[in-house]
Amino acid sequence: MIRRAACVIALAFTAGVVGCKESLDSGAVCPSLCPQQAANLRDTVLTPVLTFDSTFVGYPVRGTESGMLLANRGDTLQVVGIVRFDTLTNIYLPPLDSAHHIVRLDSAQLRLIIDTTRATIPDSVRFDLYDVDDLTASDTSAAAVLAKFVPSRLIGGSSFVGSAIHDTIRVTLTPSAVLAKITANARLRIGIQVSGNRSVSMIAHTTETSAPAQLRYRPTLDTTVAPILVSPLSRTPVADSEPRVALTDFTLVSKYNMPATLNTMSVGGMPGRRAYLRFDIPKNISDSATIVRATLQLNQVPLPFGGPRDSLLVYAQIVLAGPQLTDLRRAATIIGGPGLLLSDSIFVRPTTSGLQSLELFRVVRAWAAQSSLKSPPPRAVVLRAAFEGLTVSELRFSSTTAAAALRPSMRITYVPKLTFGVP
Amino acid sequence: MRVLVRVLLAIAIAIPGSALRAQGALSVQGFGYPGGQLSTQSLATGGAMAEFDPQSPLNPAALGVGRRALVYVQYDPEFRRVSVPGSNVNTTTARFPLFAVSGRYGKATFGLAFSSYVDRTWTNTFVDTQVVSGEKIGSRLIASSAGGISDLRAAMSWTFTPRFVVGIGAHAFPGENRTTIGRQFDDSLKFGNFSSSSTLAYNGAAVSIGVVAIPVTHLNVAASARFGGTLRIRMGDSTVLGQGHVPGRYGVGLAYDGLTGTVFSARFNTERWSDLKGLGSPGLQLHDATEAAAGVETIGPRFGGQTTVLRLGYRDRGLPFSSDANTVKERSINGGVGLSLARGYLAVDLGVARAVRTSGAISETGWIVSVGLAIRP
Repeated sequence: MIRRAACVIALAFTAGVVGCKESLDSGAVCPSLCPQQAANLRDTVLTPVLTFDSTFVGYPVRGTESGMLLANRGDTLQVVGIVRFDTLTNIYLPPLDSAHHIVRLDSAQLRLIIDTTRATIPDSVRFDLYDVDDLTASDTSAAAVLAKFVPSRLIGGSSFVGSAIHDTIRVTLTPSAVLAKITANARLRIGIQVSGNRSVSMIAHTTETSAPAQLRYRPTLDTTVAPILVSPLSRTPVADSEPRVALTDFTLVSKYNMPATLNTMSVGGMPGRRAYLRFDIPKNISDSATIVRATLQLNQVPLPFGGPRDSLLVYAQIVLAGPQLTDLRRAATIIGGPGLLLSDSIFVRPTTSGLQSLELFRVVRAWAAQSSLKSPPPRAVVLRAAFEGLTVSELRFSSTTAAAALRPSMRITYVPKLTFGVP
Repeated sequence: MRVLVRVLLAIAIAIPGSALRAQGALSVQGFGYPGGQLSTQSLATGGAMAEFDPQSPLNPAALGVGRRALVYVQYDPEFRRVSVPGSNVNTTTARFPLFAVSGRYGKATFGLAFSSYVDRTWTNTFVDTQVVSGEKIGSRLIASSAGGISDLRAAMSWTFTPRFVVGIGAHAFPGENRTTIGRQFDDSLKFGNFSSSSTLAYNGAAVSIGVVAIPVTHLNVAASARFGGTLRIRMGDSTVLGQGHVPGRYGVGLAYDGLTGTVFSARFNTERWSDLKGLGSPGLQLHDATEAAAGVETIGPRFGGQTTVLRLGYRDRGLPFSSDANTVKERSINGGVGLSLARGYLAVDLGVARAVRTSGAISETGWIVSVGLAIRP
């Protein structure tokens, strides 16, 4: 009897406990009954917020662009492409016959695959091809290569009606020029220059995008003999494979006459520019308060040209390089991936002026959390352009050396340290 | 004994699933809701029997009134409705406000009780818009508190004669509040959510004395007092944030059992909550509280061969904390039944209270269901 009764009571008690689900939230009657629960927001503007800023030029590393920009804007801008064919096929195989050495060429073409989605193509477009091989100059010398873009080294070219340019174009090469390289067992390095009746800009695919330029030539009039296709290949520099692969195809800027502006930092353009920003946020804010919003405010300095299609997407990326790395140009390449603590961006025309803002609260919070480290990383971010090295658009912002009212500032919204809890 | 162990085990398993809780409401301002440290039996009479009740850890002398030994545990869920002009909210709370053991040795009875003194458990979530530099910022504010202050009492009574019992108790007041406040913003691209948590710890001490006497046949008188020592609040285990005193308490109860099988009782109690001054923030609204109760307990119908006890009571008291200068008044009509099972080895008390609390235009109603289980080895 005792056992049975005890079990019944215990079960009933347990069922009561488990069956009564709590529902504690009574927020509907707040703030009438919640006078202490505020956690009020405050804000302040930090000016200056940067210790310094620097603009570094030359991103990405030559040859690692995910495409080859070909552009011409008259006196302002000229970007050319280089494709290396350091090994040329010098024999061909007729059907049912043995191999023959190539002694004449019927035709030769350079095939380019164009990304027309980001292109500015006028009514008339011309591609000129130059022999830019230089056995004496260093592989890293842009000047030596650019010096080869002269009429005497012209080895081909074709004109197109703008509307006829779709994905693939074939530019004619002078057969004798190619044959000379083949018979001499020499390398063929082609410089591609584009021009048009108005500004022209387009991106050709490269080895980085798995659709590089291709050399095509016919060694005979016999149409049963397949044309010879040669893919680009760089054999120099011999000692270092990484740049050797990168330099298979790349771009060079032969002209960039953007007017200089004082006291600015810049992002984008050709070659690609990055702005390195080192922050100075007072500890009494970053460490003591909880920052809920941190807006970097930049004053955009307008550039003289840039239409709607030139709008540039700029985003910030956190610098991951530690304080031991003092080469800031290199530090600007050791950065977090897009979206790591920073997800905001600026999308604006180069001709626009005025205030632009970037939300940085996640990274500012991360810096605050790192302040107790023995050797915290620099509080720095890099501003970089989307499609870096593939766009001629450039944005400029007032730097730390500009007039006080124009310098970068940061508007911080925060919750002061709370002593919440004591009734 | 094995049965007792099994029952206790079943209860122990059940308890951690739902800890002592309450909610943010009119009654849980300040340091929280003072349940009154009433057993289910006392609660069912509106607290009128509390000065005579060995299970309610108020009057240490009442230990001598009880049986030889006792193990007691109690469960009090509350179903509450808070109303402010234009808005109502329903909440459900589960509490385990009391656990007690006692035993007799000769004329002495010893008891150990762990009870909820104030319960500060609540959660508030509400939409809030703030204007910062002219910009409207929408967010959802979340505030919560869990925990409270408990009363751990070790007491002894001495039975001089069956008509005169005295008692003394030593109290420790440990406690903890785990508080959190945060904001979740509507625009998660621009704003980062905010959350801040802190843990407050309490420790204090007090002593209590009491007496139960029968000066005139059928007229029982009981009185008790508690003298508070220092009560401190700390941030975690270190920094002392405030200091006050455990509120002094004085209570007196009368019971008349001249009518066979029926006991009429009344109680008056006052508690000096202003002793807490210094423990909380300067703006904390503290009110000394008095409590008056009247109740009746009578033999009810037999159930399963055992007698039952029916209880009815009324309670009127003030609550110690408020959100403004207005005192919160609480009135309740209470009732319950007591069942004796297993040839008296087990006693189950069931109680219910319909409480109404008011302060200015704000009102609150609650159904408190109480289940008490006493095991008498």
